[in-house]
Amino acid sequence: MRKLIPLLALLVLGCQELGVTNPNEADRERATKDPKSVESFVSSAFRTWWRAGGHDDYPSWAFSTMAHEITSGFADYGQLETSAEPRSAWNNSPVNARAEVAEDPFTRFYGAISPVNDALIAIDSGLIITDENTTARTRAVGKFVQGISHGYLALMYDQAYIVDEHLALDTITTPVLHPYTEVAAAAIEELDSAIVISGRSHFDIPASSWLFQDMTQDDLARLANSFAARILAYTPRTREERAAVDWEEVIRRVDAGITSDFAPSAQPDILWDDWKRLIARVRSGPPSDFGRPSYWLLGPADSTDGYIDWLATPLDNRHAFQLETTDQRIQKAGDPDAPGKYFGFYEANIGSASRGTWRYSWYYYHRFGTGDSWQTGAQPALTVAEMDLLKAEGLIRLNRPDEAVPLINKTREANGGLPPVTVDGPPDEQGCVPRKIHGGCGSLWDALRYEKRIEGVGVSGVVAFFDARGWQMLPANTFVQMPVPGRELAVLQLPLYTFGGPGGNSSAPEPDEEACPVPLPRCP
Amino acid sequence: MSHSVVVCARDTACRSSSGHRGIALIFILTLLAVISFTTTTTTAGAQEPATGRITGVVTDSATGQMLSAVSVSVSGTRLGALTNERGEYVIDRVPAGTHTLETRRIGYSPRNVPGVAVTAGGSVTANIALMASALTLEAVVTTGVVDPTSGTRVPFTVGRVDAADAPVPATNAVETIQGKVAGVTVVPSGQPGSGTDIVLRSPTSITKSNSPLIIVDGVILSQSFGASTADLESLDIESVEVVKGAAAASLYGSRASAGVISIKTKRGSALPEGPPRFTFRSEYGDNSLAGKIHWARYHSYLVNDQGQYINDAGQVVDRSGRVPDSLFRRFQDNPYPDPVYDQVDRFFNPGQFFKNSVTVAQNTGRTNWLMAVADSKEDGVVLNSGAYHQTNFRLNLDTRLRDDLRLSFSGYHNISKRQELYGDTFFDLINQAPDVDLLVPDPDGTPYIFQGDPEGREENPLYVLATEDNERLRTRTQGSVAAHYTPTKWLTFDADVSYDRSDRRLNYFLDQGLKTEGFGGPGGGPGEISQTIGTTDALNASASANLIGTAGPFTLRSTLRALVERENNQVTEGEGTGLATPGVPSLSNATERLLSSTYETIRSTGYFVTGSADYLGRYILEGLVRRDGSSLFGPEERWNTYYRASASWRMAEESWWPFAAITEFKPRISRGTAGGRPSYADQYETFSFTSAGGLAKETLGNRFLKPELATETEIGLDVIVKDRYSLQITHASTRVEDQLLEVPLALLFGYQSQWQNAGTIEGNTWEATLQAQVLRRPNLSWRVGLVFDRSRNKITEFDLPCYTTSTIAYRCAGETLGAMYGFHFINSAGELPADAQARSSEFQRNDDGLLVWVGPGNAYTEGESKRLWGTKTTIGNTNYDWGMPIRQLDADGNAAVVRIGDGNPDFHWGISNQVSWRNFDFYALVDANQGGQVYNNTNQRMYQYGRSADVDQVGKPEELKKPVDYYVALYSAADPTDYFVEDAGFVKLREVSVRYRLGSGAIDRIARLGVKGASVSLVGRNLFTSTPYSGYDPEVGGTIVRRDSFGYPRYRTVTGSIEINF
Repeated sequence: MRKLIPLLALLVLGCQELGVTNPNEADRERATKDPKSVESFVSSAFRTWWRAGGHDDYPSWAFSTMAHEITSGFADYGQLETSAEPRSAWNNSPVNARAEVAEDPFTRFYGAISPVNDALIAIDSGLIITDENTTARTRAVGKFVQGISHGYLALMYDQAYIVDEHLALDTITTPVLHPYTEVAAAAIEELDSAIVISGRSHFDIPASSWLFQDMTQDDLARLANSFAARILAYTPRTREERAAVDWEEVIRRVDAGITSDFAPSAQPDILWDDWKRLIARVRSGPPSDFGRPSYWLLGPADSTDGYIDWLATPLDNRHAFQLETTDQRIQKAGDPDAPGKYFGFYEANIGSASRGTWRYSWYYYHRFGTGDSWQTGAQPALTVAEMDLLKAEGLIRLNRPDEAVPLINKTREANGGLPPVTVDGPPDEQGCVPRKIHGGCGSLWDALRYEKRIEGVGVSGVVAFFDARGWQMLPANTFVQMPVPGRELAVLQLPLYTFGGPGGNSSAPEPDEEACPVPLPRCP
Repeated sequence: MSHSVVVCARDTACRSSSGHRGIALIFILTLLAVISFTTTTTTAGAQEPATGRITGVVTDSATGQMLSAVSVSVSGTRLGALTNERGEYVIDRVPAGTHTLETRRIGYSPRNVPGVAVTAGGSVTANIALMASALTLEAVVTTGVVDPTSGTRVPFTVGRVDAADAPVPATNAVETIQGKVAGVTVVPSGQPGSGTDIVLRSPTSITKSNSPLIIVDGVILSQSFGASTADLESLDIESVEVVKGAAAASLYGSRASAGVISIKTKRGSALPEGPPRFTFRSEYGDNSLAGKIHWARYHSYLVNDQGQYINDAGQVVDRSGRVPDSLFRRFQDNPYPDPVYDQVDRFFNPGQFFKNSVTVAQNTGRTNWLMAVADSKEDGVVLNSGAYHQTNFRLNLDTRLRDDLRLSFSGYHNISKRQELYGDTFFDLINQAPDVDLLVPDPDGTPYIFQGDPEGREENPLYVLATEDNERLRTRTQGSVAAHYTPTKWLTFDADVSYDRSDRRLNYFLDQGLKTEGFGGPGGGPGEISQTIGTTDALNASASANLIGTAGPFTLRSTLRALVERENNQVTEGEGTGLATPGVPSLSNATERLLSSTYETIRSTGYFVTGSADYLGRYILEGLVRRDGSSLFGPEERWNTYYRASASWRMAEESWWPFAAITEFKPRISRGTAGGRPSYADQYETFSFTSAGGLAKETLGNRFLKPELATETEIGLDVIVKDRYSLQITHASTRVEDQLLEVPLALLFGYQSQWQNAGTIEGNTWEATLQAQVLRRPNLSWRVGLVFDRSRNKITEFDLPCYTTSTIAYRCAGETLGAMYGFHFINSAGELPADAQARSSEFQRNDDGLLVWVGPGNAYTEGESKRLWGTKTTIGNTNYDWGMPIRQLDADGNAAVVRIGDGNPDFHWGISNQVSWRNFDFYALVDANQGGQVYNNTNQRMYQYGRSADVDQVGKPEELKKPVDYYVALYSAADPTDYFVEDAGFVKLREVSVRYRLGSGAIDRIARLGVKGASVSLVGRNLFTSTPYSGYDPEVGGTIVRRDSFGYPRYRTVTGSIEINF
């Protein structure tokens, strides 16, 4: 009998426990009950938002190249087809190889919202995270993330879900998509909730995760106001809608907003700004070898006729050229070959001529560094300059241009080394910046837009697009908003639809570069 | 199925009452065995019967050659012996009476010799002539069956390759079956030390692995990590058996839907009894590129009459100031002013191959053992990079402790080291301009320049390979112990335990100051380091009781078996950047560090019962039920049941069988089920950790996740004619339900997807295997093997929206796995969108067969003469460029994604010839695919910057020249298009060997050195391929997704070898 003991032992061994706990990831059961886990739902939500919010590849490359901010001859991230000229409709098919342009933000924004909602539900059910103020911190940042996520959905898509902690998901059989205006309104409401909660609490937000910047409850409220200003001002799809924005409210938000740049501190592989990396990259030799500042961006600063000639040349015959400017962000004073503070000159054509020599640029971008600077250090994501210039736009639109002038001059003088503008625009002299596209010095409105574009490069990959559609600067037939991604429509069993292209819906009209919102000198 | 053996119905088997009953049954059987054993022993000791001796010589019936290592046994007893080197055997203590002798030897038909009369104290001589069998069909098989069974009695298909059929050791041991077994598709990986991709018959899973279960000497090979099969040694192989689908593989339960490959390694039992035998083998030769891709040699920049670069103003400029030629004549037809290179020739370089092995083995009768050490190194074909070095050790031992108890041990240890190539190696290569010299040194002292092209984006891969320390170190330890206990003639017990452990380490180090992607400046980068350690250990054990009995003309067999499997996988990775001190490859040297780890445990339990009955060896019925539980299934679906039912009729055994020449004629049918398991994480509803401890939702768990369930019905016919020819024809139809699919969810809920059982795939395969011993004479023999197969597959149910994956693959109901989807460039006006139909006269079909817009009154040949290249128009909602290919649009106006090709071949065949003439052995294997396409993404990528020779326009009539823009349009931003789908059918001379065996005279002269045999061979692998495919080799990509995407090219190996036996 003893000879058979091993045999029997094996049979007994066969009766093993087959339930295995996954040790690699937190299971839902425990994660939603543990206060620290619940807190982490919120503290890690911003980094999910971050990438789609203009700080990674999707949709930044598509949006920026469509807005003539950065130019690139590469097809990655959908930039080639979305910025092709003449423009075509967005291919919203879920089998489009570039479907991520629309899918990625939609996924990430709801990926940020969903765990936040779980956390807020747990808190509403009585869960206390350490103490009242810490709980309030979770609630406030949670509402903030809800707000910026819904807000960016409203900025990018024609319609989206509105889903917060009050929506009973288990009762939903047919998810409802709301028009972007309603989604934007919900976003503002959520940001206001964050502001209210912050106003009655005392907490600090650590830099290690959360928003990756040390903050007090007051800082959070200011940041929420600045994001609200963005959402209010950038939601419009057309020049008419932008004109109809409540600019008084935008100015109020800006005034209640940030007083120093919101610049999350990058941590390797946790939160970094891939947008900044890729537009500045030195891969194997030439700097900015993936995308470069476009001539549409830099050209208005050119004191030669290079830009004017370039614009006058048929698109396919345009070639890269060297410009000369007094803007010290683009070149060192008096030396066109020497780099400026933000940009530099490097004579190399990156990419294939067949993608259009008009995509070539001999300028690179280095404002935020070129090496591994995107992996560490401050990554400006929402600047005082942007807010100032947003307020300046509001003031001009409210017919208070003289109040806008000092706001425009702040960066213009300090960073560009340019002479100050007046209500008449830059001084009417040789080398004035900006120039009009057919020659002559620009208006105050031109100076505002030039300043906002130059200062905004690399900060966010999507803002230039929002501005361009509201300023009617997008090339004709560019889609001015994205449809709900084809993948999501397929899941919902809704018909596929899209925007842009000749004769399409939500297609940008012919650009009207110089028209001013109010009568100003040098405006047509 | 007997309920009593369904011992596990819930998570914990023994908690259920049925579980107790099942264990109790096996326990009772075990007890019975002991009683029986005890009784037998007692009886034997009480009375010694009168005995005699049987002796004889076993020879080859055709050649008269003495045969060693023939097993001769007395039927119905445990008595037997092996023949020695002179073919002699002696069996003592044979009870007086008339007996039947049974003989077995690999390569010969089993033969029974009845009527051997033994008298008490006498000796009888029984000389036996065996007929060599080239017929795999007659070989004893062990895979898919519980007892070793003659192939003629097996009611389903078992493919088999013996060492004798594989004189060319495969680069990867599993590839031994390629071209030799019907229904096998292998797409090998290029770099030495890689795994291989195998599908048996038609694919069984849409999203999960289609790789068969691989078993080596009873060790179930863990395949939880990459290139698992690379650790095996092909020289060790004695035989490989292939069970291709559920109709045969049900025995292996929920891991076997894709079939089973069972490898047996060499053992001392194949030797005659005697002193130890030594075999030394040494092989040495070259690896070289077997095919080429063709590089452009011209450019399309503006030049003057002297061929110098000029700018728009006509001024001579250097390379960095050059500008593209005008749009209307941007043809790639200007010679470069600087030397140009074929970068394939610059980058690839023949490498060396060597493999040395020593084998020592002995058979002492009761015990046999074999010890083998092999050391091999394969450089591959990349210049100075990618070498693979492997050393392995094997010890196999069998011993008969008592007449009724046999133990077998198989042990294997392997150490390997490979220089890894970084992921972009071949992509970087194909982007190099022809006028860049990759072999000039870099200013930083590296022998190859980092970036030789001022406009280049991709770095010189030779620089990266020279500066990165990137190596893979692995050890693999496998062992199994099996016990076979035969207490009585009607009851046996088997038990085995096997262990498979893999230790893997990846070390990557790039020192600070070296240039790298993102840090191409003179100062280089901050340095990077990563170290990944992976371990896998798998323990499998089983115990079974086997009942064998006869009742009149019936032979009955039954087996009860319990199995347990445990596997642990652990991976820990550390990576860091910003090295504080140069030259120190330590994670501690990194200023920024990240750690991550995963740990997985898989547990499975299985029970099965089989029963078979045959009547006079003519009518064979067999049934099997297996109950499997696995931790990989959802908790609500923990246990699943599989079955097999088979029948065959050996018609040639009937008394009325009229065809004496046809000695075997066996129709057969088998139907069985087997499973495919989910991946580890599929069932769990968890939050994924994002970096630094964040939590995010990704996949919604599924408590109801079941295995994929394959049901296969196999119908076939086995025929043997004159014991010289065999034909096996099989039709298999497979239906695999409950496909594991990642179903997208509405993002409203926060989860992106959930794994569900949501689809079905069906397949059917025709197979034929023909073997012929064409000649068998004393000095000349010729064997031919022919395999043929034709497989089809289709997704028949698919409960989620259709989607594309792996760039060209498309998953949708009604479609095949292997189908390619992408964009179609239209060929006729009928394919234009409706809004362009009215202007269809403005379109023409060009000399590439593509419809292009040419405008009113123009011809596609007038692009240059009328300066039309570069002009555009808009018709309706669509923009058209002059002369450029046009994508077909769908009803929504989007570029239509349509079927553009299919990687599934129409059919496949392989033919092997083995000819022995005097002291020469010749072997050749020709393997062929008819049809089957490959997506040539490598060539497509080479269109982006005009690197493909296709873009060169030299030699074309001026009016047919196309600008580089045309080829960039065809490149289509790397989107899949039908333009790059190529016919990849091939006929390949896959293996060749010529061996010369030293004759007896020569051997006698060196016999004083102990030499008993010696041979020299010339061996070729992947020698020659005839194919229309334009890439390196048509065997590229994977078995399902046939996409050539700048991988390591398959290469040719030519070697010479010497083998000496002592």
